[in-house]
Amino acid sequence: MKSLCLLLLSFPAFAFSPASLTPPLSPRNANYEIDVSLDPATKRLTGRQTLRWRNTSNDLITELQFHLYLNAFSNDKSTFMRESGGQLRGTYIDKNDKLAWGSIELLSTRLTHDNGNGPAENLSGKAQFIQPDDSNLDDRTVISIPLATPVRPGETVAIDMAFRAKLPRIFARTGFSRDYFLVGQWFPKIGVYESPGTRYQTGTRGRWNCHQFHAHSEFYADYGVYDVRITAPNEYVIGATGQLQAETKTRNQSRNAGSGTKTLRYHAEDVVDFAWTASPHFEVVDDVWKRPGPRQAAGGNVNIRLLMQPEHRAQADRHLYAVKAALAYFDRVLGRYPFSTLTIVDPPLHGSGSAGMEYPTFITAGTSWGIPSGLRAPEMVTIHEFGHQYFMQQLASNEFEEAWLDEGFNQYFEGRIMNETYGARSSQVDWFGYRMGDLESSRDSYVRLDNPAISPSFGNTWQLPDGYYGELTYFKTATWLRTLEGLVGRKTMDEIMRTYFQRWQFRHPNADNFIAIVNEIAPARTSFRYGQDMNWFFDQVLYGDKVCDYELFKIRNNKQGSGYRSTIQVMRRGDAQMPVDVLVHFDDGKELMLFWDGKARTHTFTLNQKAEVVWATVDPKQKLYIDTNFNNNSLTLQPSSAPAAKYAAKMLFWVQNWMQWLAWLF
Amino acid sequence: MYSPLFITLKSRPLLAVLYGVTLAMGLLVAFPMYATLTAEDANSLAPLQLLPGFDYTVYSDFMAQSRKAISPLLSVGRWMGLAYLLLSVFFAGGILYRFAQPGAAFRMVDFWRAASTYFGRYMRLLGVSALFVFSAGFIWLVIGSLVIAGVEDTFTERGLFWIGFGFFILFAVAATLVLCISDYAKVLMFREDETNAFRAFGRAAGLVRRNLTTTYGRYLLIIAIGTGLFGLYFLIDDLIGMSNWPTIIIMVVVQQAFILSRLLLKVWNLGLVYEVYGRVK
Repeated sequence: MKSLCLLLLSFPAFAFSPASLTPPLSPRNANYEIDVSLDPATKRLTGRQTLRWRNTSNDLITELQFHLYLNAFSNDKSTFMRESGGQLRGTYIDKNDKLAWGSIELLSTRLTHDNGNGPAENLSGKAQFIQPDDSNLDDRTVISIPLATPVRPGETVAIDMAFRAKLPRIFARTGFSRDYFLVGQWFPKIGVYESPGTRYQTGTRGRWNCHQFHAHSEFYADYGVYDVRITAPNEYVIGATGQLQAETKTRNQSRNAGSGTKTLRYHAEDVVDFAWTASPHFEVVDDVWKRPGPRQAAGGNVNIRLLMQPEHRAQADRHLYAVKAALAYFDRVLGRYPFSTLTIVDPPLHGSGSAGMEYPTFITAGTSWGIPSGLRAPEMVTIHEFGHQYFMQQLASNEFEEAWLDEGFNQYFEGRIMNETYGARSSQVDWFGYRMGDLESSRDSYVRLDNPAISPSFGNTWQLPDGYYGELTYFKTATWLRTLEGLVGRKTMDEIMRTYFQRWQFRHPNADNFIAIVNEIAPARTSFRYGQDMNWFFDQVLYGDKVCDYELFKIRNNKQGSGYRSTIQVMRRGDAQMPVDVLVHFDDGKELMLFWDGKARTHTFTLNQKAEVVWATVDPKQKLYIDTNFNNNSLTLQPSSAPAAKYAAKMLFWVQNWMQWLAWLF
Repeated sequence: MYSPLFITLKSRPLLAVLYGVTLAMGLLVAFPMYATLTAEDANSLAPLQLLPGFDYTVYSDFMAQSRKAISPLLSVGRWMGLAYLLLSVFFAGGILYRFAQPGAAFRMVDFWRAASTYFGRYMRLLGVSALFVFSAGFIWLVIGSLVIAGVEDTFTERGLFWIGFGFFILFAVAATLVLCISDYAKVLMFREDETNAFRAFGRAAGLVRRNLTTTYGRYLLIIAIGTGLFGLYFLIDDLIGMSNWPTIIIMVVVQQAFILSRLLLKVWNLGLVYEVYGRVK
């Protein structure tokens, strides 16, 4: 200890900087210093950035690849526009509106080797648009810049770029709507160079993984430190990724040019992206989430900033309650939220295309004035987008190639948190007797597909069947994760998820990494009930398109002496094969739990008991949540007609009312 | 105000006929619904979860499997409403005859004769009323939608809601006013032996305009009472529920009492119109 103190004293810079004593959470190989100013009148950004990028591979890298995602909005022939058809999530682009379009232009590029201290290379004008995903020559969302001098393994280069951007009118994710700005995917952002061993990269050399901007996916980036200076008019309220470090105001020299500008400096560490917002109308609501338990002593508070629309101000508590529930849940089940800030933006209704978005420490929710408390859309979207702080930000999987790894996992956790916080059967909707839980809503979205066997969830997002992206990535994944939980138990599931999180935090995991952890934990914890590994499960639900449906088909009782010989026949109606429990209830109240491997088309259990079987249920605890029909899971020999009577009576009542309403017309 | 109510309450055979028809037509849907639900649940235990309250998963899985069996019944229910609309046009003459002969004993044959006599002219009046409801009522919804689209960029969400609500109120006022006028036209055609529906509607409109509080005010009062009864029904439904056989039976009784009360309101309203017309014409 003493020698450590001496060592620290001999390096004053370290000794007086506690942050520098803490090892970085992430590799930090893509660090940005950005200076950007917003002109609200022209909807334009003017920016300069210095990217310090480290080559973490053993390769000599002869080109750099960058995302220029705002170019997705530059014409109607970009891959994004072709895939989306100019409309997403209910909002659309007005193609005749000149202001609706957006773009980004690289003005200059200069690379300096050896972390900015070596030889420099002027790269201006050398960038070429490339289309690695679909060869669409009209797509200008990715550039390749050839280098005269390669970047050596381990070398850090400084890349200075000047850029100019025009924000699109918001219809999807980013842009402006009146004087509200949500600025995402806005700066030249370097792709991920995947060295051998990273995800699916094999062979002796790595490669760039830098996808075009697609309708349904946008995140895959390396971690870094972001220092961003944002200049905007004084009257604008700004929110951004990371921590606000300083704010300086500049009086405008010209009397006619408004009230001057201000510059805010934000700092964010170990993040994969940076987004910000500006509007003169935000109402700021600040709160603090205090981490419960002994870790509080370690300084675990999270400062929450809500940027609310004035007319949504009454709903601030709903947002805060939801996000605190999510913070506590993730903290308890997966691991610590490592950042000290979280900004939640409430977009105006006219900018709703930017609602429900996730960026590091910065999310957008979405609500509307007067939404009843029983319709929990604001809570749901808040919890969902916060979940991306884990599945996307801290586990930086490749959304383009494995969207289910972030969206599906996050959907599963959204369901768990919503159900625990607001009730399993009423977490999403609880209004005038109509109730719907979050997880059952996810299941419903998948099992009610016209063809649940349409496609596996696994695969490049842009190559999934048209119109099935949400169902396959969000809802099917959430449903099979809930099924996995049913099979291995909640405790083991949490252990799996926690291990996955801890092992792959601030890295780029893929399906193999998750499955390896499941296979490492689940068989042992379930006494190998489901075999030596769980590959059979993933082969069916992730890589396959199997449909699960088990039915309790028949019950027969035959009197034999003083007892009964009973047969219970269960049937596999789908092509998915899952092990199932069968609960049998006898007329003396006794119950038996049986087990079937679920592989054959049918299976008959024969029981010799003193009492006769009254009812039986296959999968009584609904472990196989992916089962497309739960109603055929049970069969009783003593059915009750009360439910039919109830709904027939309701039908009678409402038909009579309908007649009376029409009769009132005359 | 009260005299027509007393006549209505004393007209138990009339109410019985009207209620009986409503019940019979409702049962034409309800009985097949009961049989279908019993057959379609395939002796599953799952529907039992619908007894304590709504269960989305059970409902959704059931509808996915049985939609083809249930949909025709819902369709029959919709057509029943239209059939009953025609029947109510038919009954109107009989009901008004009852208020024209309040002291006489109710005779089915008289009711039937009066109903048949006025059916034709009341069908024409139905057409006229429908025309005015659409032209005077729905026009506000169209205008409202256009206004909202036009000022969308100027107003807040709350502002847009209140603009929309304002136009909905205009629609509701226009539609109920037309329906109120239609009731007075009905009485006018009955009492004045007027056969021209357009002329009757025009004269009734003038009468309602001159006596707005007495006519339209009372009409709104009847609607308010009906709305209040609906609120009461939902309260009782919430308190009792339909979670087992005894509560199902209790709620069936409550539901039918509510339907009867709506019929009573309908008849009372016509009696009220008959009485008011006699005073203010």
